[in-house]
Amino acid sequence: MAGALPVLLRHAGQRLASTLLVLAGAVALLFVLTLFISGNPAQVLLGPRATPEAVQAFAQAMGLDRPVHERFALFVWNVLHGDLGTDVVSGRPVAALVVEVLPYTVTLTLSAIAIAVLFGVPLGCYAATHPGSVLDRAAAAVSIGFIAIPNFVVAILLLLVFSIWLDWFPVLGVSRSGDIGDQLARLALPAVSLALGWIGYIARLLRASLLEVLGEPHIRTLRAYGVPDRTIVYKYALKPAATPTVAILGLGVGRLLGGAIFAEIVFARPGIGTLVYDAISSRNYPVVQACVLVVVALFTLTNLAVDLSYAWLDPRIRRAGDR
Amino acid sequence: MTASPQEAEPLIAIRDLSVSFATGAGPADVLRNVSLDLGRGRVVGLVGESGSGKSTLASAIPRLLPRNLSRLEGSIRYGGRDLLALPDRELAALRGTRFAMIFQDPMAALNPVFRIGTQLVDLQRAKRPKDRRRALLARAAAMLARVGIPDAERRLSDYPHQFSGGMRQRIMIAAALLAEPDLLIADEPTTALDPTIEGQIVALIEELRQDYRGTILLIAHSLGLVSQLCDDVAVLYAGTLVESGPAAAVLGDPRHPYTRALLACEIGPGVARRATLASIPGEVPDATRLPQGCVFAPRCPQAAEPCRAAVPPLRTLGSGRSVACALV
Repeated sequence: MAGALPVLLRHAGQRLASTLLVLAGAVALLFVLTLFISGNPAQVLLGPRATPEAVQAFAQAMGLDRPVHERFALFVWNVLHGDLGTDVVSGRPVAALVVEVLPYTVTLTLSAIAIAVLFGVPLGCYAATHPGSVLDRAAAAVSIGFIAIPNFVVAILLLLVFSIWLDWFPVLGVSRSGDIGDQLARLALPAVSLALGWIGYIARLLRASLLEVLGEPHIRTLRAYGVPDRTIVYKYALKPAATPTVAILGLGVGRLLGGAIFAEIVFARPGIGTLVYDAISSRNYPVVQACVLVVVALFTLTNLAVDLSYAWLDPRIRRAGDR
Repeated sequence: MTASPQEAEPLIAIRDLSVSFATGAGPADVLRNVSLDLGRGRVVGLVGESGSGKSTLASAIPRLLPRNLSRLEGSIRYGGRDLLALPDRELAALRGTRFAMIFQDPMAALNPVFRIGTQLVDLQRAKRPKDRRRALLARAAAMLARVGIPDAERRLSDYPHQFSGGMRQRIMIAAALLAEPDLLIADEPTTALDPTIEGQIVALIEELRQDYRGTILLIAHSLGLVSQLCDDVAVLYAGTLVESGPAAAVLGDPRHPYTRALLACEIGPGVARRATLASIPGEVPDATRLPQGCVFAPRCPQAAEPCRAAVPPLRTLGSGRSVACALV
């Protein structure tokens, strides 16, 4: 295996470099967007009843009266130092606000992915090994339904049925106590509302690629040697069939983060979603900017992880990186 | 030499095997009333043109037939049981323990995303359910070395794409031998390889006969390969067994016009450089529309009235030979 590790490292290095490039682009774009806020940003931020003196003082304090390139350099410098600006409403550093709510959003998104994978993968495997069966057809119909219905509608329905009518789960918010059971109970419905569409999506995608892989000659080899069906499907067919699903899941994190905003609003959970929603409502631009930056970072980092997972899923890619 | 293998009970006795597949053009009769014995410890060559049903016949023994199978009749007796009547679970238990297979395309027969060692462990699992992984890896390394893979132990952690086609076929042969099967089915093991590599694999199979004394069913395109490796030969044409018997006898004195025609088509070392290559006029009939009577009659130079009237049955000629021709 000499040479395999350096190849992997080089592959990882290349992916990391392009990830950083994307992040740098996002930072630049975010700065450019602030230039397009109509009118005097200080006026907009302070509202229509601010005195000209107050606007002037605020603009100076925020460095808004300096030339564009200086402001850009300052912006980049600050971002690099973890300074995402100051919340114009509360006066607190935005970075602190984001760090405070980020774990909630990450937990919600990861839980949703975990639920989607936990249910979607076995469902896809079953559908691929029993094509045309009742469960396969039912799963196809239900999947398409859940993919078509927007997340927030699902969220509201779940809230109605399970929290209000059946009273199985707490209605809103997160538990701030250390009670794990309560935290999980409050996480369940928002996570499920995000995951439902993805369960079907993963199952359909996996079914299609599994059906293709199961027809390949190497599967016949395993059958000819009496390898149990379980091992064939869940080990030898699943790994080569997983690549398209992992790729979609990587891109899906973007949509999932978007969905998380709605879920957080519907279930009144703290998180990046509620933070950005409140910030937009109150024209709190530094907070909006920081939230967008964090979401972009999460998205690109996820795709970095997905890229790196290809090398694990398909050893032939490692060699391709060699050339 | 004790009793000749033909007189002893064969390892596998195929009787009146008929196999059809459902196709868009209607049922395709891929095998029709095929009867064949695979003697213990014999290397049996199965020859015929593409589409003659060779692979289907070989796959029917471990019942690895495609999903569009629409008819499976006759019997395949092995160890006092009819394999075609065996429940799925019992039949699956024979795969990898009593039967092992080598496939035509070694590039595709191994999983591209798992290490060779991992695959060889799982391919041995049916045979040795209780052995530790470490022990199975050691057996795999020893067998890889035996089939001529240098540095075998280290290469267990390599992936299939890191081996050449010939090396991959050696890995498949190692997998088959690790199962210590009663019957090794080799489905055109050299067809997908370069001629020089083909020679090496043939030499390897010949050499391995010293260790492995089980029965081999070798599907082959070329009669040259059969004469080199096989004790017995069976000739298939359009799903019908037209001639079978000891390889030396059948190839030295073919009785069926199709066997004669096949032999005439071989490019042997004795063929003059500028000689026109022989070919059989006409083409193999469509399996969905087989002709009346003898299936070879439309292409047979000697075809006469009785040939077109009825399907000639497979008749024994003595000394282990059989032929299905109305004129013999």
